[in-house]
Amino acid sequence: MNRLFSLLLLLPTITFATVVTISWTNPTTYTDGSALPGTDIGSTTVQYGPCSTTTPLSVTTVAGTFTAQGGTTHAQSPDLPAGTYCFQAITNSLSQGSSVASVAVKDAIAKNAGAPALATPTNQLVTSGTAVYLATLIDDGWAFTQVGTVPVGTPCDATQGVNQYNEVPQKGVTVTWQTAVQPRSIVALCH
Amino acid sequence: MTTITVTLNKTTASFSGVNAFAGTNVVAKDNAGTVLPGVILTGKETPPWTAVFTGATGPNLVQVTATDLDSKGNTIGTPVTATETGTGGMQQTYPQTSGITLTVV
Repeated sequence: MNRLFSLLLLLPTITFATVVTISWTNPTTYTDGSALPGTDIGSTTVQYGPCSTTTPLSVTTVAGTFTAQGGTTHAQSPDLPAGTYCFQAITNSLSQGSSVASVAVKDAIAKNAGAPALATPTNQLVTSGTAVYLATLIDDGWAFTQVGTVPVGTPCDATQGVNQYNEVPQKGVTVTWQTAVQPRSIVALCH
Repeated sequence: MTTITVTLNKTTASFSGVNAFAGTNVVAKDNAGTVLPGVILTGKETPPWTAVFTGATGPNLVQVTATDLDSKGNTIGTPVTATETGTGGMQQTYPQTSGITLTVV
């Protein structure tokens, strides 16, 4: 197995112990530019731990890992205690026989899988509610009108939102609409 | 507790949007200044275009904003806001100091 590589992201402070969903886009090339077929992705390992205090951000100490098998592009963390975490994803490409092990380090690096592109950090919706809302800015604050529901566990974008509500990306998400108004941008209570 | 009844006045207007009109989002701020959960009206209510909110008492004037929306949540036209008129919210009281009685023995 030929391991590599990572991008980093910062997740906001987690207030309660919670499961975090991380998603990413798999690389399509090795670092030498040659094609990386999806079938050659054995797994993706996500490492997490404290963030560095300087940029570029990094995981200073790997506190734990979790793994997605094959070409899966998302994985859920174990239940994390309150805190702020950085995550980095490592694509593990399948080697052909023992050839990777036999090549020089330089060649091995050249054949490493390209870096997966981590998507926006996502948190899991918890059982506090599955309602999704239209957020409306009024004169001195935000108002929320429920327009539907999403399944428990639907990821939401921790970087976008207002008040305690975060945006719920609708791609790949089944929204059960309750109104004729089906906004492109919806928010939910996320933890 | 207060009951805030909102009835929208509607006229027929044209617009050039791609998506059809889908409803009017009504949000209200009660006398306590709390923004209440909104509701989308479609005209199928009984009576039509009417929403009833339950709010809390307080010193503020109720304020309601109605926003016409298309099917994708885009605003059509300009939101309309109405503010409670008349006596308004319940005035707060406090133990105002109006003078001092002094006794020295």
